[in-house]
Amino acid sequence: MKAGKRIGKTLEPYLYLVPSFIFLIGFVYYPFIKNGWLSLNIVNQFREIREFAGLRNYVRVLSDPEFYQAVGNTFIYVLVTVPVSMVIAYFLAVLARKKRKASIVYEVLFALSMATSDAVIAVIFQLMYSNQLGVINKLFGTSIDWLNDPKYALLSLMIIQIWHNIGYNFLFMLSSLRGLSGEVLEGASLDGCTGLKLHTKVILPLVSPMLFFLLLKDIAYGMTVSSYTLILTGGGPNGTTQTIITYIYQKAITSTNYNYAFAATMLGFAISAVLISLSMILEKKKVHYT
Amino acid sequence: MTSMEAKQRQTRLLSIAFQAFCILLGLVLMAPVIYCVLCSFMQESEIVSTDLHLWPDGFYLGNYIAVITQTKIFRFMLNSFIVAFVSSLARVVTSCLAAYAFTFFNFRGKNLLFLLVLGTMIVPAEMLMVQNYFTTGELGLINTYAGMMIIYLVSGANIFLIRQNFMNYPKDVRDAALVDGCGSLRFFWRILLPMSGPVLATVFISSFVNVWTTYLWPLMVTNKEEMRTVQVVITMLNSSELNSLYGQVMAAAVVILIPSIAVFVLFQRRITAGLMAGAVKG
Repeated sequence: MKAGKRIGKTLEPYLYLVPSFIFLIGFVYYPFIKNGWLSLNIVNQFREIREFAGLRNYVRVLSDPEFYQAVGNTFIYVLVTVPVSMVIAYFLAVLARKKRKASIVYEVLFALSMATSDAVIAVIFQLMYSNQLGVINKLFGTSIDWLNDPKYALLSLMIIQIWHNIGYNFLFMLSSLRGLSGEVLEGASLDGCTGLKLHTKVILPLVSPMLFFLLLKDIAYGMTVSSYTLILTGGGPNGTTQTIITYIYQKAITSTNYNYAFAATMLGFAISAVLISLSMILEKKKVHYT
Repeated sequence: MTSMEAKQRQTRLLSIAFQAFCILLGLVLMAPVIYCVLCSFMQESEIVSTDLHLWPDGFYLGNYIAVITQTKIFRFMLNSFIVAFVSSLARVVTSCLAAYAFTFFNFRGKNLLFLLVLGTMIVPAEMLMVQNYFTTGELGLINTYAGMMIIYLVSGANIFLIRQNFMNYPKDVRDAALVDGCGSLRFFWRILLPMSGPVLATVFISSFVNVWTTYLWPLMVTNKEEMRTVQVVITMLNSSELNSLYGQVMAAAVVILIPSIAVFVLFQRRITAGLMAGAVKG
């Protein structure tokens, strides 16, 4: 009786972990390891291993110009959408920092894009971008076929992404700006630190942990975008909007070419791991924790 | 005295002008959503007219009537709701149990297991979807609610966030409660959880909005029309098979936006607080 109770006590914490770990192992670690193993083999269309391939699948993916195009597009996507949406959001947060009577109204308006979904926003922009009846062409007197012109397609998707990111980034920056003590800011401005200098020398270092968090989050998100491409362009025209995820998705689901898909997935992991480590180095140099 | 009054009035006017400017800026930023709402009240001829036409001629409700009568919009919304609600609830339960073990117990392998939880936060879920899709198929869960929810039932980030919150809780209170004959589970259920209301609400709400707005996974694991979620359906409305008009697509978009915007406006403060708590040392 007593021994049984003691075993129960030892087992207790593990019991609490069982539900979580069933899913964490089943849907994070198992697919990761399985994908890694399969990528080293040639598999048939039923994903049965035919022969060991070593790194041959990787060589094939790495010599596929479409893969480079997808990686390049994803990099451009991240390099443009992340900083632009953060700068705009910072500007809005500075505007909204001081609480005023109408604060609640424009705060909600500035942040609202985070409550919308990729799919709904995509169909709205699809109508707005339309060549013939789109409001954007009508407003600016242009006749650009935004989503079907290789020159503009990726830009069009990036504009949607920037718009979508602003709300989330704004909300974070606002609460971190409001968390700054008024005394520090007043002291700095008394010392002659005003305008742009006040922001670059005083405020940005103070909110840098928050900026870093947003940077990581936005990069991780940007590296795995797919919805806008899948809904609006299907990767076209001429592959100019293909991203790493849509490349994998189309190889695996649309054309059941698993040998490419599994190797590309592992390369995608590696690329995002490198990017995350690079941001960590940036953190060591630039982020000030108080 | 009078000059001071004049100055006060001037600052007040400036403040009002500033706020008006901010509201205007907010409206410009939200132009796509406003445009969508306006189009949903337009007749098709107004939308396809060649000149710039932003304000509907009348309060035309035909698009909404068409969406309600010609599509199974309420069924799709119910699908989305069930998936978002149940998986968010499950996430709260699984995360709380795991966080409880990690906060209040010492056991062999604790650090390793916690590292495994943190590890899942670096792996992008989108890159696992293809393998998870096969697993879901092997489990026979394609076109089921369980299949649509299965990858959302646990989140490493949520376990981490709730653990951070539990750690603020003094350990001796639990020890005292246990000495007084309060069972461990009873303490968890009756004392710890009720005291952690805010963080649980944050996890639930942000998870709900997350799952409600998700697109790729429900697209992959469903192919029967009646199992589609609203996010998948909206992108199919203006494809050739359903051949809906633009006004109807916009009306459907408004109907789909309402729940997530309502949740967001109602709980904005709570969501922010929770996100902040997770960000501080995340």
